[in-house]
Amino acid sequence: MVFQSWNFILFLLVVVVATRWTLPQWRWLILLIASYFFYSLTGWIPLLLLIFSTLLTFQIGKWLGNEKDQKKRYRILVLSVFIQIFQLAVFKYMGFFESIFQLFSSWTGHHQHDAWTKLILPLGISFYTFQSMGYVFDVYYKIRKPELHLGHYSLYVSFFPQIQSGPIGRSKKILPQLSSIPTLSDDKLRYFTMLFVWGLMKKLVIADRLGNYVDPIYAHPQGQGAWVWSLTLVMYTFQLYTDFSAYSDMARAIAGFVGVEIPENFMYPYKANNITDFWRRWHLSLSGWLRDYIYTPVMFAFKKYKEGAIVLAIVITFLICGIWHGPKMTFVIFGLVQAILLLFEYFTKSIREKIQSKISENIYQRISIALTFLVISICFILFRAEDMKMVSSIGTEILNWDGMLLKQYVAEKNLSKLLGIATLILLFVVFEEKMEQTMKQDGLSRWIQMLIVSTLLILIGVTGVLGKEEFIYFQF
Amino acid sequence: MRTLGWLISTLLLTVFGYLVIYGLCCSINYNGRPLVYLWSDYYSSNGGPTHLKSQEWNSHCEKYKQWDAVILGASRAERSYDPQFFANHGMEIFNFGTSAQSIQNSRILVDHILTGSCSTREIWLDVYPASFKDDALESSADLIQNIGFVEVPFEIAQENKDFRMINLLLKRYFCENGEVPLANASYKRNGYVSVDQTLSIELKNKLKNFHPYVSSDFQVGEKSLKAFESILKICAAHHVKFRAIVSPVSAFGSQLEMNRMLDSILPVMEKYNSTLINLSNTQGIETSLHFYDEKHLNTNGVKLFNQSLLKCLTK
Repeated sequence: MVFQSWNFILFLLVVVVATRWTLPQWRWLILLIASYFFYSLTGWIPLLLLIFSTLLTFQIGKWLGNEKDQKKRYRILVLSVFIQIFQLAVFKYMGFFESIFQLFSSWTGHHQHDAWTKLILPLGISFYTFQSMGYVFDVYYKIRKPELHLGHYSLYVSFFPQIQSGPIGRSKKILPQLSSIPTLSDDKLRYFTMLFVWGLMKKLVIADRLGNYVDPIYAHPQGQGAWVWSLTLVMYTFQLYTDFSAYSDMARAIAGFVGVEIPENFMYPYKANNITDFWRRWHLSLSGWLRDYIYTPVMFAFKKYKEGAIVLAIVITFLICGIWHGPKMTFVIFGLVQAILLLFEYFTKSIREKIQSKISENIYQRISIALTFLVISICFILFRAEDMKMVSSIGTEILNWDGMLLKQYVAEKNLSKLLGIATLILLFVVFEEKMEQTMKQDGLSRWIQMLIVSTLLILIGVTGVLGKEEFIYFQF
Repeated sequence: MRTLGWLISTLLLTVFGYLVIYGLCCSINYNGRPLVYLWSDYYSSNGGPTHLKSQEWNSHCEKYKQWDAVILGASRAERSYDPQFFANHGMEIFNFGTSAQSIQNSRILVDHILTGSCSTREIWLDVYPASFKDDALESSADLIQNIGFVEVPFEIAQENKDFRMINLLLKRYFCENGEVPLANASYKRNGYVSVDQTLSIELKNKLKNFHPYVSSDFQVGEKSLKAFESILKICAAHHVKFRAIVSPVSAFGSQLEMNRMLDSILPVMEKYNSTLINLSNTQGIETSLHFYDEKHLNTNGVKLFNQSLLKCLTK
């Protein structure tokens, strides 16, 4: 059930009304029932797996809370991480291991059957595994006390607005809200309505429209030429962002409707002036998780090696970041490329500062933003391509600057439509931040709020690309 | 209560603004077509065979007419049953096959045909796996814009619960500012569309390496299967004989998909004692000679198929 379906909107209305009619201290129960019902629509096995993961991490949290001996606590932590990684590996990565195994088998002449790949991939498993693992880390590092209320904790892991594609919540921020969920004020309700419709507009008017241009090119990567690929790379960069940020905005709004605040996931990432800055703005809940639970501990563990520790921490963090996205070599290489870029930035910091001091700040910033965007667009080939073979054929295509191929593409797609897409992207880039800041303003007139919601809905009704359902990040 | 008032006012403002903007986009022409065509990729033009057959049907039914059979189904139905051939053998049939007609939309059409001013002794439904997918956009877009029954476009829009259908309805009633192209060389009489060509060289080459048992994730859609059962119920209620017919399938057709479809529909048909005529492998029909593309028979293929069908019917 996707957020933009009529069924979901009906489900949400029932949940919102039910929570408003329930006492704040019992609202968790309504939300837990709703969350389990929502997740059960994906199947009973995924639901059982979710419950198992919840019970396991809840108990581990309690053990960690009661245990005083640091060595034993460490062993409990390792056991917990091992079980959760094992669960993730079985359901998400078995196909990947199998492909390596089959490659090995083909060398030795033995062929294995593909029973492993028949295992279903539970929706959102990467998200809720990281969320519950984050809780265990928090208890281990004594950032928070163990949660003693199983109901609150179960809701924290399974909360329906987040479970499909995040944002990955942090126990310190979300769990305290669940014991007594406040009634939503009228101001907040209007804000979350705007946020929901804003997300809907990003998905249906921008992301899915761009998808109509990007998908056919990735389906037939050969013979397109560099010009067409350049356009496609830019379009995909915006498609990915608008699709995922649309999901995150809608998830935040839905959580808000039932009285729970979840964190923002993006900070205008294409305004980043280097790759380090980009990762401070992109998928904040994942990058924050990786920073706190992978990068920082690795840094501390190897701090005696000074710069070696930084290199190691960055490489490990971004390898995990890549693998987290899925069991494909393209994601592993995506992670490695990010690590190399970040290390390049780290080791060239002084040189870049010297260059910066010699030219105008404004020009330097603009060039940096453009370069960062270019690099990110190229890196996203790894994110979108099916396999490394496709990446290499795209690489070959990018060397072919044949203008005729562009002419054919423009004739086929219609120049007016392409100019329309370019205008749409430009308007989005110019107004995105202003729009979001306006929506957040305290005391914004109800008439302006009404005008914003109506305008966005009309835009969706008249120009939306309707009918596509899934969000790109559902696959992760 | 204040927020509820705000929500209702917002919705009213949205509906009003939407109608105004949509009306404007319909009345402004760009390259000879309403502006809405520029960004809405699912708008097929109005006109074409569905429009023509609707007009022909309505003119027949101005006075009461009893058909021997009305044929429903997608383009394979539209292009495989020649009413002239059957008329030569004393059977009056009308071909109501339309582009990509889904089973859900066939159900709506059956309902209207059997309660309208014409009647029929039999309903023949051309069954093919693609019609049993639950996605009915192409078929609905065509029917909403071209069908002659007044209630059908609204019923299709309501059935699909898809905002695009509302847009298509509005387009039909607010955007009719272009001429409907009535001339259509391949449109014959009583709903039949025929094509004379044979398979292109590219398709002949493709055929050489084609394997009919390639894997497929096709499954009969739940909604489609329910609609199929509904058709059988409606026919039984009106004492109209129902026949499901599998017209010839080219060598490009997936045997796996065909088997899955038959596995799903045969138990339903058994419940209603209905007949399936499976002519998917009609003797003498060859892909390279009797099809003009991967799915559709050409005129020569139709002759052979219709002869075989007639033999089955008269047995």
